[in-house]
Amino acid sequence: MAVRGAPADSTSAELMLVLAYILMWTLLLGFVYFGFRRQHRLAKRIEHLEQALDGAEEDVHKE
Amino acid sequence: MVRSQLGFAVLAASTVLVFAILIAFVFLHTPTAQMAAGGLAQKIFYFHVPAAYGMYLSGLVCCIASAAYLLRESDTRNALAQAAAECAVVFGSMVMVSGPLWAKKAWGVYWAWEPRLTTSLLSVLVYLAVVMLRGFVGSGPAEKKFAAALGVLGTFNLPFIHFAVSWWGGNHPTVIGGGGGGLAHPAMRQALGLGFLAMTLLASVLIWSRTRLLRLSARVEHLEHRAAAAGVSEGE
Repeated sequence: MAVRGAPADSTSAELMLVLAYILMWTLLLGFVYFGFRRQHRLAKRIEHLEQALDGAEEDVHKE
Repeated sequence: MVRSQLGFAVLAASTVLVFAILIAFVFLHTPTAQMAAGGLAQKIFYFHVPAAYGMYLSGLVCCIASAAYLLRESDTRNALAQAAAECAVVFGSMVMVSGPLWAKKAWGVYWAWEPRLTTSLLSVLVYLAVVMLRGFVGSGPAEKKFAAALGVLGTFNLPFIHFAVSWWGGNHPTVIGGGGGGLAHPAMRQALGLGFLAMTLLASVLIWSRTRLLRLSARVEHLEHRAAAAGVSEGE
């Protein structure tokens, strides 16, 4: 069954097209952006772990 | 490790290239169709349908990885299942936002509780539940197993989406096979094929990068536990 259309609908086709593309790309880029943010947080956690290990190593050497 | 990074870079660059070609092809080569249903709005089709295919693909990966995790637990399988579920939500959301905008022009309403739309919404909600379960309930073994079971069960809905139109009818057109969605011009079929290729590449890039991120996150978590157990204090 093919799309039949709604002749009475006066919504702008251009507006619908642009809105659809904007929303789809926003969703996609938002997902990628939050991935980057998560990666950044992870890098910070690794940095903290490294600092903690460095501190522990120094303590061992002092002893 | 370097080969893997190179492979990822090639895949990501190919995805960008194919998307650029797809966008140019859709707007410069495909004819405006379905004048009674909005004309230009029909061009939503070239991203809407491939995005639905992206959801199927991600859902399938989620199902296989979840089943593999239930058979034998591993961080990689868990990360792959989670990454695929997240991608299924993203692709499903792309379908859910683009479809109603086209429907408003084609059918005169944004939403109709008809079989294809309802089953699609159900699938997005199932994958969203998998993501929420992992994100907010916890990361213990029981939660992971429950999320994996939901990931497997959620995939059983995908064939219902695909065959909903031929089984139960409704407003939504049959796109592949059957009566066809009105892809009369060869350029329209080529654009759809290009769309499928673009979404396959995009799904691969997103699932790959997300899996890597989640695996790394799990490794850091293990290291933090080990450091705490060894009496190494953090955040100084």
